[in-house]
Amino acid sequence: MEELTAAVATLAIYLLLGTAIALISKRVGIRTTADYYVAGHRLGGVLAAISYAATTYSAFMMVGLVGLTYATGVGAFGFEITYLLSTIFLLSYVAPRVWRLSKERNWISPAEMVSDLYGMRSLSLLVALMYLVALIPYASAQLIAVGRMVEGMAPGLYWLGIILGVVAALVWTGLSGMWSLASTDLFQGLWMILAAVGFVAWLFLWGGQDIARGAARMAEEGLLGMRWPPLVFASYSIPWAFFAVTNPQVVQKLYTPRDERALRRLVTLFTVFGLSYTVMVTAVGLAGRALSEVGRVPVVDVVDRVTPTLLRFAPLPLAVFVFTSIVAAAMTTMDAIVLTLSSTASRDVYQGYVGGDDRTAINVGRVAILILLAVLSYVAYLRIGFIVDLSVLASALLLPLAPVTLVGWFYGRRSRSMGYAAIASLASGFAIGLYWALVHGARKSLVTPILGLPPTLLILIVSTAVVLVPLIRR
Amino acid sequence: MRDGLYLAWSLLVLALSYIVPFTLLRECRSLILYAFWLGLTLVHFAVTLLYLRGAEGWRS
Repeated sequence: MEELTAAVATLAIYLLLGTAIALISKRVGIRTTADYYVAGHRLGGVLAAISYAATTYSAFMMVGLVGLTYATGVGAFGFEITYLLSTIFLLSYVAPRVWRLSKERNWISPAEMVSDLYGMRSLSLLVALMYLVALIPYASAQLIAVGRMVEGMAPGLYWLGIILGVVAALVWTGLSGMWSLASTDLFQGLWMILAAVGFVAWLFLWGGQDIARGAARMAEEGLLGMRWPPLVFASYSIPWAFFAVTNPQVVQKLYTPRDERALRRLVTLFTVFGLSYTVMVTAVGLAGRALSEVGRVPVVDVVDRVTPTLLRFAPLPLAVFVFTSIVAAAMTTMDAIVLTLSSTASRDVYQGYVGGDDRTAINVGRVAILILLAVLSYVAYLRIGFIVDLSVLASALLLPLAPVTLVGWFYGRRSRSMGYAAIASLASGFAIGLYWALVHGARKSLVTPILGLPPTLLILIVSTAVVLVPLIRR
Repeated sequence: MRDGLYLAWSLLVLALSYIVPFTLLRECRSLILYAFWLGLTLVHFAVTLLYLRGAEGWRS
């Protein structure tokens, strides 16, 4: 009973704070679709950075990555760090160009960006379709995580978690778009970091010498070396390495900073946040495994249950604080996906083909948010698949967008044939990923080689080769 | 020139992050592999900070 009261109280504080922040952000005033979806290109560096980080780091971190590290050792840290290394490079190298182009050409949705880069409007529909197929499972996985966390704190109330998640997302994104999203992201991002600091500090103090003794046993089992097979490591890490280019919810964040100084701050603060969070999350997984090795905590067979198992031993206030941080991580990612998909409906479909004014387009976007959340809650209700698999599969399906977007940023609009090549590239890469996932299932499709290669590498090679054909022929 | 160097450096870092763990540190029995990835990220971040200070696209 005490646990239930603490959980409900913490969750209520979290929801009330988030809603209050969203309401305050409404004062900004929304007149155009640019105001609504990219904050009128007026976000400060700190807000843009934490919003970028909170969107990137989903429930996968504190649930999936802790479990992966527990099960497979240090290799899981490498899997996540290759993402960070690649993202630091991509953001530093291409962000100024993307930010400048977004202001010059008034990009609001990433699908609109791709079609504009190739001067071909039909591309936006294809890209929008890819987003829908890839991101609905990913966003649903976040809502499933919210439901599970609430269920973990208050058994039997999975459905309540879904409802709370949907209502909060509706208010936090629907109210004033990117402004309310970024403001609530800032508060939730800080909650995530503070919870991780508290969790890791408690775990190491509580575990004490047992962690060192357990680590010695882990060394004997090879868990401190590289236990991941190369094919699995490559197949899982390649989509993540291009996450900053392929996932619209983070690409859209690059349009938001008010000036280059804010953009630079986005890159540096995101890196600090990302590295700190990754180190803390993987430290929890490694320490948890060490404590299992010496019998301080039970052995956990299901990766998604490692964090809840460890939190059973934590002081109640800390446990509910961490549980709520996982809800926050899931919410920030889901909110951003919903907003970016809504921008596609509003900008690419409604304004692109009907041509209505901005005020109506914003309302169309709000209706799209409502419909998307209804779909997500239905998929979440069915509880499909594991969080890790769904998260990685989404990035794999979006992987063909990496070469298409990068080539577009640097060589776009040179000829009509480039647009056709982009369509062929997206279609071929996406078809390979989808076919393999349908044949082998989400989990196995990523680790079942095609022609001896990691499937994601083959997708990348094929889509890159196809999009480069017109450039090579010139 | 500066952009090219940063591009080459970043590709080298990414290559190292894949190659070293599967060769030199595959069987390590301490936290060296963890320290390697962490150190590589910190060095990459430091180099990136230098790059951000003077790169063409970053000068307002």
